[in-house]
Amino acid sequence: MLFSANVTAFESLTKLDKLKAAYLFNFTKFIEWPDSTFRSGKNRVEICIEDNAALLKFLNELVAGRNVGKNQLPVKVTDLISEASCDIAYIKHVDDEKMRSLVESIIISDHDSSASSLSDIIFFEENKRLRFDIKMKKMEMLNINVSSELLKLAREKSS
Amino acid sequence: MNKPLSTPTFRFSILSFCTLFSCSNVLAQTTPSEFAELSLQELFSISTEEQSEAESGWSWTLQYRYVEYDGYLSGTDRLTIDEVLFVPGTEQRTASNFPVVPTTITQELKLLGLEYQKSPDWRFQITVPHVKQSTDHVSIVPNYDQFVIDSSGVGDITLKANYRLDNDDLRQWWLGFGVQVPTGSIDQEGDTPRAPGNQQLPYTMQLGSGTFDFPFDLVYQTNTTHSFSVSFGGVIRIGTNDRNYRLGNNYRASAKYNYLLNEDWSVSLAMDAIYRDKIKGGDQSLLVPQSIPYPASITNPNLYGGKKLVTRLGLKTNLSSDYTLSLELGKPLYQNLNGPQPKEKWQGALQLVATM
Repeated sequence: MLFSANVTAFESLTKLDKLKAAYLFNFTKFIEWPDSTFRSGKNRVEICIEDNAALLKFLNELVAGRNVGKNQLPVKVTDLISEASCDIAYIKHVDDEKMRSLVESIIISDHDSSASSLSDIIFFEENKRLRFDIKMKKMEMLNINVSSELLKLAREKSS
Repeated sequence: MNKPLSTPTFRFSILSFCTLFSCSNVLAQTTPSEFAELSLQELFSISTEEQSEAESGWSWTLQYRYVEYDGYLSGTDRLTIDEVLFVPGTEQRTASNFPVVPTTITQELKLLGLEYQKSPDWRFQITVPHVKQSTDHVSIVPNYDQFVIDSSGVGDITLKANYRLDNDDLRQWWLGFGVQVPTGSIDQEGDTPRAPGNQQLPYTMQLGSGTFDFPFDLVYQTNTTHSFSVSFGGVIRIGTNDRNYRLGNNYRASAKYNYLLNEDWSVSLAMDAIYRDKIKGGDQSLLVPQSIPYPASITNPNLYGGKKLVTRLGLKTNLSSDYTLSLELGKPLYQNLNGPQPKEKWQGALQLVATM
């Protein structure tokens, strides 16, 4: 039954969403967060997903048992509504309250979403491939270190 | 007329499937775990289409490879053509000088490869080589003071399976094993000074080994923008062919560093340590009825094989989402040959890989 439920949940996901999930997980390998107040006591990397239960479930299984970064931290995936300390937040919509709660998070969205102008990493499709842009301004302010390997693969890198 | 085209240089070069084919996961992923195993580079190559042709599991490769030999080595000592050429009346005939001497040797390989990735862990390949070789000679034989011998045709076809032994997010181990079928001719003939008309050509000018040979390799590879791979492989030969010889086994340890410049371009630097055995047995038709029966060094089975250290520089680009073009140039840094034996001068390879 569990297997059947998983298959059903994953089948409702598009391949594009699955690729985004893989990207979100890969990003955590190439980003190092500073030991800030925001992260004090946290011994994991947290990815928050907004309004997409199937993607959340898929990503949860994707990261299960996998550690990332130089400290080999586990990755936790949660619903954005229930989580206030996201390291990475994949969002679709913008509102003031949400943005205030994500002031120390890396915000990721799709280029055609209303959140793209306020995001730090923006997904887009090009030649049937999923790509991304990176805006470094906020990450530099937060002393978040983005690996040159990740920057190299971004189409555009802007401050 | 020198290094068996079908043997050491070319046939070995088709072993490392990570070079010949892409080591990335082109097969369609479905489960979270399969997606988790994809590196950023692999994610870049995956189509967003639900049923992408690029993930059918099939890919093909066209490769053109060129190797040139010029000059001689005995061990690590350089020899001039004059030192290898026996001139009656001015010197004594020995086992190290010959009345016929190959000077410049060129070998060309056009290779068609087809791969099917059955699952993330299994890949199957078939490679069909077309071999062309040409050798310039000088000799003391009247009317053959300078002459050229050519041979060309289909070489030995390779069937190979590759199994992924281990894998995590950023690195993987592959074990490859297969068989080379003796489809290449070992009966190539040409006009040599040995006798009037056409005669059997030496080992090097033949297109195949004449035996069933068994290639293998073990590859460790990382998948990052600074990717690195090391491999060990070889070709094991058993039995003897219809002409009563067996080409020598060969082994290769390679290390390759690949640096991703951006999403479309990468450069690489590789180093190969190569060991090749001498030929076992011999083709009696290559001999002449003299106290030293070898008219040229390449007719002596003991003057094959040795050790080499070769460095290769490569450049690779994605022409489109389905086509990858790469160029590689190599030069030996060290050669210790069972000689006198022609030494390798340089090699180059141009390769197009396409996913279907």
